[in-house]
Amino acid sequence: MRPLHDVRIIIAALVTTAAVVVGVLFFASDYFIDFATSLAMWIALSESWTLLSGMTGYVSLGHVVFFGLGGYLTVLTFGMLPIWAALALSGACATGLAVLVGFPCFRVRGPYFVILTFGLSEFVKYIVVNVEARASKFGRLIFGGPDPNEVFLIMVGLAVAAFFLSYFIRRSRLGAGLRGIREDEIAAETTGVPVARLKLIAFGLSALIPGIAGGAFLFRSGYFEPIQAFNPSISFSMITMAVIGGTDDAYGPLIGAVALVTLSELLWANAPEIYMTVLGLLLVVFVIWVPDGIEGRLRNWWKTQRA
Amino acid sequence: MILEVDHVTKRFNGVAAVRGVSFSVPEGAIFGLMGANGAGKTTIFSMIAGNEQPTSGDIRFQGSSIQGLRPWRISRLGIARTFQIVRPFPALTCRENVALAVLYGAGQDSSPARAMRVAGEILNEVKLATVADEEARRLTLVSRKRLEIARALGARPKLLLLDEVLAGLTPMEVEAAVELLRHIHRRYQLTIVMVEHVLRALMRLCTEIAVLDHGEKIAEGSPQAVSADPVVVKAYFGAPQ
Ligand SMILES: Nc1ncnc2c1ncn2[C@@H]1O[C@H](COP(=O)(O)OP(=O)(O)OP(=O)(O)O)[C@@H](O)[C@H]1O
Ligand SMILES: [Mg+2]
Repeated sequence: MRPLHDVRIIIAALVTTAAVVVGVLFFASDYFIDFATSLAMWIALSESWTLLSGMTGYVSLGHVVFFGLGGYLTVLTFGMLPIWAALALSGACATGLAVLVGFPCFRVRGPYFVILTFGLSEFVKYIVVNVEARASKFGRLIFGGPDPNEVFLIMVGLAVAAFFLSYFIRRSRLGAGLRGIREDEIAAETTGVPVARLKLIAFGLSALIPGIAGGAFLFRSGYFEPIQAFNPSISFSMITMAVIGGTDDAYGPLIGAVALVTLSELLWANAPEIYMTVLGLLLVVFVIWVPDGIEGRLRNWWKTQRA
Repeated sequence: MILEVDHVTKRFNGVAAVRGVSFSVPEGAIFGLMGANGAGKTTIFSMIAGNEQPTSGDIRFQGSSIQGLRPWRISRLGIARTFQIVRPFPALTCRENVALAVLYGAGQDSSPARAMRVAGEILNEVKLATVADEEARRLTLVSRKRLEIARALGARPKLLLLDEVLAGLTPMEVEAAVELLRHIHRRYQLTIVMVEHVLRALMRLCTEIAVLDHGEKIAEGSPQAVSADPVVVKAYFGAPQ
């Protein structure tokens, strides 16, 4: 719509990100690098979730499955593949899995889709748990992966990629079709939108970066354990961040991730046991009273200011 | 003939909503489909647009069968419909509603920016320019019906199916809408099939009218012939005392 405006925002965002990254790498403590890595990862994850669920209205409660799968593939291939190849494989397999399960999942809408995606992620989790138990592996440690600074850079790269993927798709022909599906799928299909194909594309794209991030996260934690890597609370967190920030544009999940990761950092330090409770409360409050999220509120406020 | 409906039957759970209906629409015509509540008019539109599959029979568009095609494929061939119970994209602006059709309909525009411009022009044609940037859910019912027409036009159809776009309008609004339909018929070189309950509006626009009753076609012809047909009079006004 306003290309110049967009280009300025993009350049400003990239310059700011680069400055922050350089600042963190040269001046920050190990603790802060760890925090920034976590923040970048959550931005990448909730942006990706929004790509499917914010754009099409099909709420996935199982996005952790792609994250966990990425971690599992990366740990399995560790030492056999170069890191970049393992991460690429993780992303590709996550996308492949999404497209594969998209066929049955997209036959249902609303609460059924939510439950189906949740069930799928739990199903895959227990398959991996069992396979690992058969192999007598109770967690796998890795030594000699990328160092924390490299992991930080990978995560920032994923966050930037996820943000711009959302940003450009939201403004593209594809994004228009996806929002049509969200608003009224029958009307959209009657108007020429190939809904089945577009939903699969959205699901595939939304799984790509979580798959890679799962692989990168392995190097941050240093070990793989399926119950943790496929923990449903990771899906809940992605959703809560996106919903709090707003799910209609790429700024929303960014805002939500910054808010919640900061909050969780404060809570872990003081009262770790209430983190999930606070998350749940925030989700309820926002769904009921601020369904368009912080970003939606800001946008409306901005409109009234200029009117 | 741009559209041929050929012995089409539709059953819902065994109950026939449409029974062996046939009619043909010549290119460029405004064709009327009339009938009381539940006669099967909307069901016929749904089958033409691909939203429902006929139980038996065939539907041809420009000579080839469109049987079994998904609605989006039929849209791209050049058929657009409005919904009797309007279904705009509620949280999108009117402009975005129409732009979506410009991007994905038979026109297949590849540029969102250009689609938004074209959408603005179409909204102008149907006199919705003043609310172009309002969210569709904020519109009055009369405006929403116009938006249905605008979105259908955005898909660049050759054949436009209008389902009771005049129903519920005041006489003055009907007047304006009739003018609007004449205008878009000429402006976009359309063939129109329109469903209405009432004969009066159809009389003013259509060259040919088919009458449905309980799923069956009971009459077809010019507006004058149809309105004088005793079968139609009986179905509409009951048996003469
Ligand atoms: N999806 C459906 N499932 C079951 N029955 C249906 C369905 N759609 C329509 N019917 C039935 O088919 C018959 C024809 O309905 P249709 O909507 O086509 O009538 P109509 O001529 O458009 O009526 P109206 O003037 O009220 O719009 C009705 O008896 C209706 O109840
Ligand atoms: Mg009807």
